Amino acid sequence: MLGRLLREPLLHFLLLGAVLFVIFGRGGPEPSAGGTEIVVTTTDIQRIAAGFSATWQRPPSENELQGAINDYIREEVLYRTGLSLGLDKDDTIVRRRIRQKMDFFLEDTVREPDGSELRAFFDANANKFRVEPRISFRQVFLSSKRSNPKADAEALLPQLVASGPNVEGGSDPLLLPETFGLTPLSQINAQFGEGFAGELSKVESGHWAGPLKSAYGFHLVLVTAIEPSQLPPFEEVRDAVQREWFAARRAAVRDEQYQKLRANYHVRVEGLNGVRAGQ
Amino acid sequence: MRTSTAAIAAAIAALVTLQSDIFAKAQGASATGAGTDIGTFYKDEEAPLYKAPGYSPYAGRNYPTRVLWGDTHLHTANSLDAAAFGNTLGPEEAYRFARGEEVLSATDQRVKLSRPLDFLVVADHAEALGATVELKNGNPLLMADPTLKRWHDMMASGQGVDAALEIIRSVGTGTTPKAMFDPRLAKSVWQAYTGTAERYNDPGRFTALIGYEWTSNKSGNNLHRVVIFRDGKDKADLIVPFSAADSENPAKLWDFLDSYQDKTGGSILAIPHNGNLSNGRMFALVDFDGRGLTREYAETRARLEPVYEVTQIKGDGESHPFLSPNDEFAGYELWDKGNLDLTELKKPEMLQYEYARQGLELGLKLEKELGVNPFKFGMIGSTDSHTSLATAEENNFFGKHSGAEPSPERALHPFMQSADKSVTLFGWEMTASGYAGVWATDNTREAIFDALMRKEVYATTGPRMIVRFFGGWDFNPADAMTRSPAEVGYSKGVPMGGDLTAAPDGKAPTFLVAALKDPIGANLDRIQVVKGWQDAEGGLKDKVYDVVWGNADKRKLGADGKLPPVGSTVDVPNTTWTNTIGDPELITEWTDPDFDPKLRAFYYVRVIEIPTPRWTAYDAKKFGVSMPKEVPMTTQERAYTSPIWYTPKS
Repeated sequence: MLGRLLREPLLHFLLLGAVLFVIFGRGGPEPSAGGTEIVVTTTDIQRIAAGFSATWQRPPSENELQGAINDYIREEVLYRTGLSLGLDKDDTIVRRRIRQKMDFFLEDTVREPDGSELRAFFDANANKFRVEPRISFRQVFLSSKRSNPKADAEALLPQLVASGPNVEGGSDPLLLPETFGLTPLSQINAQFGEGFAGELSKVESGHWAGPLKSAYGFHLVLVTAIEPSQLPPFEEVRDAVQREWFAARRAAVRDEQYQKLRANYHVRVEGLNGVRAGQ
Repeated sequence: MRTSTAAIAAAIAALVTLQSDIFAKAQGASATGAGTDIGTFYKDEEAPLYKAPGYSPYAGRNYPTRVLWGDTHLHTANSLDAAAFGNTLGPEEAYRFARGEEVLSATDQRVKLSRPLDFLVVADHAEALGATVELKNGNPLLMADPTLKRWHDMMASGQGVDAALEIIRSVGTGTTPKAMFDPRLAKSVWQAYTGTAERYNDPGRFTALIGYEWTSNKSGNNLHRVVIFRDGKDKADLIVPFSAADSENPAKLWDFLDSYQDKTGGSILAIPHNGNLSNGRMFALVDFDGRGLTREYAETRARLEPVYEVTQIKGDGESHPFLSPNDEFAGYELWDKGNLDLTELKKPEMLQYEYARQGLELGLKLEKELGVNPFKFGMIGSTDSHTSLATAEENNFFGKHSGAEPSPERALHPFMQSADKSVTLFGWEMTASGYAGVWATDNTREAIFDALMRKEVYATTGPRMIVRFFGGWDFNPADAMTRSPAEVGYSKGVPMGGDLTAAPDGKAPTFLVAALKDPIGANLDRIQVVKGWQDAEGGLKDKVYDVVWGNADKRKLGADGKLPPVGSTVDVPNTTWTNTIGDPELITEWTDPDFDPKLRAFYYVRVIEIPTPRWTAYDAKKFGVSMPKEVPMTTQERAYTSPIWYTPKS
């Protein structure tokens, strides 16, 4: 029991913390902004060790932990001394950083939207969430390498109508599948070339038809099913609505919040003619 | 309630008995035609033992039918160097751009992809993840360090490029101030990033794989790896990315990857890149510490690094003319002047350990010695762009970093210079490349990751040509004439990334090779098979075979066995070309004419497009700039598949 306790990293942390407390509790030679006492708390040490463990997937050795703690102390000493010397005052960098922190903070004030707000956003931006039409079809290909692929396709069409798609010969190999399950129009265009899906969606289903021109040649097609564009129910796309809502709100909120804060100030610009207080 | 449960239990028991009854009958004297509850069992209805084509065209077709396009290596403002170069776009903008939306670039230019990508890996540098944003913004934690303060001041006064170069150099020499690697900075950025990835991951439509880059750059020699998770935020958040500040030794990275897998039950892989900037380290015959390779090293590397990023903005790494003097297409977009930061210039003897073709060959040699091939990798392309914009098309190229986004000056602006000023790289040397083509069964994290693991992937330098490559023992010319070559390919052979072994007596490997041009791109010049092997004396050899080509009615192999060039229709000043040469689709069956069943070998496919204008030509036209004569204005884009390996039966 005692042996296990002695091997317990937490105990090591506590002991180290106590040692550091004694060393630094006496105070440094320089007065500094946060007082002269630097306390590396157990929580600090745990945080430092956790950072190490998360990376290495193992706890730090005593040496490694000591190094990390030393680094933390060094930082704290320099940071506090810097503050006591007023290095943060009228420093563009510090001002920018604080301004950026405010921006982050204001963005964070975008509260989680409630259901009715999301729904309103969904209704107002329905096109963002609409699922495009899908078509399932089969295709038989005649390559543009032929001297007259269009005429060959037209000649092949009656054979397909009479005997079905398993007619051998008369067509060419193609790396695209012969049979497409329900496929969104944009994906059909991405594979056959711009405009093909539009032509395909005009074809009456259930009969071999064509030829339609693609980036590769001509295709006889049999449309087997068409699923029209549809707006999925709100609940089904709620996550996506929320994502889009946040993306749209983020910039707007920064500005709204700024205007609110701005209203707390009376701004007067002196000197140059024609320069007005910015909004 | 109790009765109904009992009733269900009884029904299940009855079903079980009935089924075993049916099986008993089927296996036994089924000719009796005994009646069962699902109809009379007739002998001729027994499931056939051979595979016959079924009626339903969908059933049994679980092989991938659509190639997915993506970038596995994109940097955003969360990367140290990207932010220093002025990139202000984070992962959110990167996803929106990749899925096809128009965004405003860091230099305020409107930009959109010609077509959406199917997936994206935002892979920011783990080193000081997000710290540059902090540096730029003057985080007091960082400003305490004089070097960081100086870098900050440089950035604030418009010298961001110089600051970035100093930062990169300091990582190489190990002198980056420790404050930059504060885990407190990394952790919040990492978890914010995985959260964004989660929101944009839309299974079936757009996949946001979680990843990062481990940027080992010892003495400026590039050993970088992109790390990719199969898992989501829940598992990825259990770690903080292991960075080169933790260790620059790849073996230590592998330890981390394995401990992640052990601890979380998740899956993870790493993709090395830019061997061309490693000065002989990428495919070295020794490990990071200079010791000879062991079986364990080989096993670990092969297991965790299934693919190699062979082409990207900082050059193409498939082959080098010094190593392949008889290959007239070797030496595409070469970056061979030195290591990553030009602190050490290139020596010819380094090249053999840098290029993919020789890496694959060295793998055969090592497999013979160690029993395992450490360099058994497939091939993909990716951008390594630092603009949050995954652009790889010549007419839509947004450059390596925000300072190299389209402008009249970018092509002629120096990109990097060696310390002694003897070597300068210029903006025009950036390569508008590449993408990863992935034969995944579905557009999800799991399916894409699994396809990478089985190496059923290929690289392109930007165009989205479809490439199929199958190997087996029984392909014949008629297979190249069928309507659906992929169906024959999968039923009679293995796809790219696969293995052949135990050659049947008297047979040589046969391949089904096919490519289809990008629907909005250029025709194809030719398809080549690259074979590498280890001969009986242990020598490493390779040979490039032209196996099928465009305009075959007019173009014949010359007496020297070489195919004449396809010609060119490019009008450089007007940046036009026509598809009046080459073919939109090429397909053939090919049998290795020089096969020796006793020798280890690999085969991969290289597809070459007809000449088209290079991005420099589009810049020249758009900005009215005249380029010096050393600037290439045309290009022949290409694809490289993962190999198929042949291993003799021992």
